[in-house]
Amino acid sequence: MGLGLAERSRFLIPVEASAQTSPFGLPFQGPPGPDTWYIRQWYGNTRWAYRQRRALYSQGQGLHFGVDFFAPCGHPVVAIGDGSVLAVDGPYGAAPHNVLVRHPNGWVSLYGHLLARSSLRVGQRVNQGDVVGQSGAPTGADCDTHPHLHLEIRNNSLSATTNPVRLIEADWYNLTLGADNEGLQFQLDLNQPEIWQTISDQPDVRFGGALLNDYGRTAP
Amino acid sequence: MKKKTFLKLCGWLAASAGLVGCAETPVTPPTTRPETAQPATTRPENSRPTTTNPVTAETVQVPAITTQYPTTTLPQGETTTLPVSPTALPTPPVTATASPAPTAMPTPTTQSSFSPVLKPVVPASSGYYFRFTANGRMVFYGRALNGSQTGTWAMTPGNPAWTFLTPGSGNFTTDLTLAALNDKAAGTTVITELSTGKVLATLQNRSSSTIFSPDNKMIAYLLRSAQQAGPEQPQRFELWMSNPDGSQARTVWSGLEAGNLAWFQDNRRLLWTGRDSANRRSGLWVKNVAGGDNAGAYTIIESKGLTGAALSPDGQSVAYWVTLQGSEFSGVWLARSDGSQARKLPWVGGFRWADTGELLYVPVRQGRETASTLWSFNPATGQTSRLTGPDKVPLKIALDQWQVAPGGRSIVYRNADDNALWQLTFRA
Ligand SMILES: [Zn+2]
Repeated sequence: MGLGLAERSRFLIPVEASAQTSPFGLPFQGPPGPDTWYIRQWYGNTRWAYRQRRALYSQGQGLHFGVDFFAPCGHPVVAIGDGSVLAVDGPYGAAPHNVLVRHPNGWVSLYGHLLARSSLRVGQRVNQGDVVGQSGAPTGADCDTHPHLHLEIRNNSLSATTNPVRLIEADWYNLTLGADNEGLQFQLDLNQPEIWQTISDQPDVRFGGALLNDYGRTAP
Repeated sequence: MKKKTFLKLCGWLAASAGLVGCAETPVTPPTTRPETAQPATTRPENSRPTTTNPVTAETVQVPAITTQYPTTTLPQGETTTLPVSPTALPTPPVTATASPAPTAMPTPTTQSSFSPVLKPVVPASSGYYFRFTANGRMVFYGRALNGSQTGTWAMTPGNPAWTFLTPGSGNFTTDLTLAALNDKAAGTTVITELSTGKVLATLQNRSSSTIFSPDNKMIAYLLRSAQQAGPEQPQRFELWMSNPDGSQARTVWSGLEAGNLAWFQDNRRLLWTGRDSANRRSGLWVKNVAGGDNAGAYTIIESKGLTGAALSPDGQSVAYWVTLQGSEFSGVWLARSDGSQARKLPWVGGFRWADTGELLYVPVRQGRETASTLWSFNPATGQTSRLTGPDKVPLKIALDQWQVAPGGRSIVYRNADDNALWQLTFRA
């Protein structure tokens, strides 16, 4: 379907958040590196997301609705902003363990695939940079396969996510270290090669909405 | 910008080839759009902030640039000019002071006196999957400059003509005689003779990326199995090869998490990264696929976390990543392609082989560096050279998309500030 560029690039921004350009920080202390942490999958229309559009990401309109940071199991994960703990191991995906933090600006951050249940309690206050858990792997047991933190930024009602790249102050391209894989490149709609090909031009995801990337002609 | 500085810069630029205008801000290479999040309600494409950084022409060598993209030659013989105004290419962050010299880099053993040159090659939101052919042409997918036809094009940087190759997308032989065009909807790869459009084979390979041997006589691809234990479990692959017409198709390996498939220059061996089916051995694999060799695939380097392997053009060396394996092992490595002499390199960053035998690399930026530095490492001599830096050009590569042109004198890269492809020439 030929949606126009404007419609396809909607962004969802709470009123309170719009005044502040980059209200959040990164979910790790210390610099990125090949032995510490680095970005492995962007938010949005990635090649891996296209491959998983009917499986892993079917409830997220086919897109990757967070940013993946590769890190060894056990690496400390920190809150991206001040807030209070909304949930620990709630029904929000990103198994085996997750933590959600509600921030005063209206956003909720989700830290997924954590190694173990976080020691935080629901309602507890956290400050930016406080440890919320340890990075793990989606299967829990196999830390050699895709060990990473899945970071989401959801709206107030938790019904949608937005691109963390737009809300976190960072030198984003530097955080991939120059490594490459299909999570770091975007799937191309051959009929509309202009859209969703940069790290900041990615649409919001409404959980349960229709697939956005079920392209007819596509590459690679 | 100081008036005196501007006049000096303007005169220098005007003397350079292809200069279209010389106004107070516009005539310049890629810009500084801070890589911070944009205001949430504004589409980044619609707002290209201009830099406020002063240009200190006394200490900065400003590259020669042109502000108009070249014209397009369409298959119908029609010629168009892209309506790009100089303001579409915003102003540069060419500052000597804002970008301190890197401190963590290896000591350069040579330093070029050549002033790097930046030129626009393909406009924003185009030029996908760009790579070079043997004779220096660049092949990419995008929309025609007149805004209508999409497809794969060939062009030579610096030459205004684009030649239309095919409506599809895929891999090509380096002489542009054959294409392996992917059709995701049909789940096929179509091997096509480009000059005639003749279809040699339609591979039912789930549209896997299919690569040609250097002599164009064989093809190979990694087929992701339809049945997987789960999306977050190690992914199963089979390595297939055949003749370009699809005959003599055979599986030569199966395993897990495979990638980075490449042919050796001798047309006899394949290299890739992955794990064996039992998930015990992980690393860099080689298989001799020449007729009569029934030996299995073998690992030349065994390591967990090994990815991103790139074989040197002469097939003698391989560079690769090892990640999340502790500080001693994690980083960029270089080895002989028989697995010997493996050593960790003293930098971390993106890398590409040049046909000169050098490994070009762009280290992760340190501290307050606002742009990247391009280095060269010659495995044969051990010599390291700094080719450009933030003091010379505002190199900012998006999505690790860059390729070395044949001859090793320039790279083409996707500029993080305007999403266009630019050519950076760093040698005469
Ligand atoms: Zn994720």
